[in-house]
Amino acid sequence: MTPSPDKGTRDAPVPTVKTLRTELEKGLRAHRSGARPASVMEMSDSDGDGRLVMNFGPQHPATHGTLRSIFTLEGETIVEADVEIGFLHTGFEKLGENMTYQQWVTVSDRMNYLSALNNNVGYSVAVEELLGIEVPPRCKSLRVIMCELSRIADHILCVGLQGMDLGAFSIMLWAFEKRELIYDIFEAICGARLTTSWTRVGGIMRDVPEFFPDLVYSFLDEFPPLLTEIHTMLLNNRIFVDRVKDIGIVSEDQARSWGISGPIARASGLDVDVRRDHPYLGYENYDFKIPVQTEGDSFARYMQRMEEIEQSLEIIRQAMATLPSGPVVHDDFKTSLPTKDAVHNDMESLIHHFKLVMLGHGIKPEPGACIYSATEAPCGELGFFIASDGSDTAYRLRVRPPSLYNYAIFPRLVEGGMISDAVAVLSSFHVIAGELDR
Amino acid sequence: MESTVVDMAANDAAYDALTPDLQSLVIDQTEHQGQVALTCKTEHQRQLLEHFRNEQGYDYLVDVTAMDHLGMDRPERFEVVYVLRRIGASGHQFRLHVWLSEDQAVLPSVFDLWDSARWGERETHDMFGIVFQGNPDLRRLLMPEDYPAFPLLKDYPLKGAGERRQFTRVVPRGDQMVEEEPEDYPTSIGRGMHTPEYEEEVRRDSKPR
Amino acid sequence: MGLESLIGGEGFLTTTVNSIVNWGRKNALWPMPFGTACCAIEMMATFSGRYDISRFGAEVVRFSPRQADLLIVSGRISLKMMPVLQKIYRQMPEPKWVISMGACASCGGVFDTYTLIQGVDQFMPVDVYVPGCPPRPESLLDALFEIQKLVGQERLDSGKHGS
Repeated sequence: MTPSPDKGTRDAPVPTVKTLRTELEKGLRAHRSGARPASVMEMSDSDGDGRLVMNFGPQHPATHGTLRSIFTLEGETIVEADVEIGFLHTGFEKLGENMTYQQWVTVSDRMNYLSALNNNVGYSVAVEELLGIEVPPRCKSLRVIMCELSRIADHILCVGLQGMDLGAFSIMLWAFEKRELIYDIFEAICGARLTTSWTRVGGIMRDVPEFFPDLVYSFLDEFPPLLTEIHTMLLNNRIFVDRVKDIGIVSEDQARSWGISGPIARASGLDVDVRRDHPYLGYENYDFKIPVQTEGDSFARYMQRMEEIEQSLEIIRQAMATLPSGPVVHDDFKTSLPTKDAVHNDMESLIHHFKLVMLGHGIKPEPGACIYSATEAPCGELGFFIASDGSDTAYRLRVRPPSLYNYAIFPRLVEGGMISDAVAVLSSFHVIAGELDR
Repeated sequence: MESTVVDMAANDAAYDALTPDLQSLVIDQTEHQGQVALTCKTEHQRQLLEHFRNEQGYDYLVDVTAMDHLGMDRPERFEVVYVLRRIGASGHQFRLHVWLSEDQAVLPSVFDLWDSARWGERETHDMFGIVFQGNPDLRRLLMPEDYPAFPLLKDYPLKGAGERRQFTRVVPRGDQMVEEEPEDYPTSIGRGMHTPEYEEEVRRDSKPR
Repeated sequence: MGLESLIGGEGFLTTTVNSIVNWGRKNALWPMPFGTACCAIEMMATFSGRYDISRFGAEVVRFSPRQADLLIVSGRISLKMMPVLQKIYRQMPEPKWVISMGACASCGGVFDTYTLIQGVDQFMPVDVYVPGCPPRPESLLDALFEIQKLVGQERLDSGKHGS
């Protein structure tokens, strides 16, 4: 039972929609027959041809999350590789059909849990585009600042885990130490460290506290020395450089054909960035570079992420310097929640709040409207395809996860290499299982 | 009200650049917030996608997904959506919607045009049951291989139909680890979990949307 | 375990040996992080510099279940993952304890869907539950203290962890 990514179409009849519906009606006790599901069957050893089929994951320190790889080995060389995902599938898209637009923000940050704010902002931008509303300038700048902080958090963690997987455990501890600074900022604006749920449709949860500039500026002072430290530690380290250079090369054509986006694509020379190509939230007003590498190997991905962190710091500086004052919520209260202050004191705001929160009322986009809206998450292009049927819940909420399309090429890259190269490639890919499986 | 996304240069570019006989294959063209969606029938999907890829240079398939219109007044049950993009100086993006009937939920695969379709189609198959003929690897992607349903269909309940309770309970008994039926073992949260009233409540709450 | 079989009956010696063994066990728990989702990140933060879990002895994080005695289930457990979790749990040698960290592992959390197990304690025994989504690192440390209390109350001849 040697799996292979390019085997021909299965011989077993693929069940059609009709046959499965009848089976569902008959009940499901039959499927619990005691046979273990195929996904956890033992992949043990060879069928005599000297090749070992080895299972790698889904519970393994070096798989970033619940990813399972099945390698067919000849010695230490990987001859065939297959991956299996879905160990964290949660049904976000089905939840989107049952939760209102406002409610789904809370689950959106459980997707890419390392940079939850990017998910929040991406979803809110998508719904706002569906409705055709625009948020006030202060809200845009604040969202940009928090997105970039979240991007820094994600990238620095990726670099830390990349170091840890290759043996440099200190890098991970330093990365977490500096991430705590970012967590402090998140906690100051919304009360939660990780799963922030900060944005709302038409604005954000609340305005930032008065000491917010102090927090951000002290972060901007304390963070950059870490980058120099990491570069010093890793670039002069022969072991690290040898283990990532020329490993897992993704060419630009491959990146284009496989739908790869984000740092992986830019490290391969494919110059795509949603912030520049389809700007949102006023990104066209900030002056920042989009770094692009050419080699496409794991080392280029490491350098790409470090350079992107520096560019994010630059964006934060510019956004803080030009932060306008004003309201943070779109002023059409048919779509955006009024502030709590107004709700407690003003009858109209109370009525608007009621109508937006109660099921059956709420935000009702145009029936039949469909939108595809993308933002630049740290992993790549996070897209939302939302179709509306005129009710207060989405009809179809499709999340286009960057990690899914980035990860599809992984089996090709590791074939012909060694197991330790597979670890190096996987950690440089930075696949987040929550987003991959949704 | 202007939308937050700025550039969709020359919105009708994809449609206008089609030859007239291909234009006749496009049965509908909609626009919302500056985003164009062309619609076509099942049998013309491959031809149109080949044209867009080879003649017009849409070399980046952003996403493949589907929608289930069960119970709605639509020509067919399934609508498969392809989001196509052309990268570079003449960048453009649009969507192609393909109607697909539930009796013959089969479409030709486009993995040879864009490699990102391999996993995109695999996931659409996993979630909707649509078969993409020619895709070299159409196993289930996110659900277990022997899962008896396609989750994103509208008649499949959100809370499932009991699959998530179909496990035995692993319990230490003396020297051994034994497996028991979950109903027999009282747990702090699961106490009374499988009473007839609970089952009835689950059945009642699991209405399809 | 050989030690338990040698001890029989009550007595001053038994209780002293009990307390010494429990003291040793609870201050040197070896966690096995079964981290799947967001709670895993908070668990990693607990293991890191600011909320240092190694102050309390649980520093040696073993990714092999055969070498661990505290399983921390952090994150949502889906249909595909439950057999894996059960297998890992069975592979751990006695004595072992389980922390169910976060709302998803304890009761399904925010996600009442077709594919998530609504609480791992339906299918494996759990000793301590930690509420939160995700719980703060301090909450996880509090759970560790509860486990330490549980370990401290154990008796070697109770037969709970095998002969």
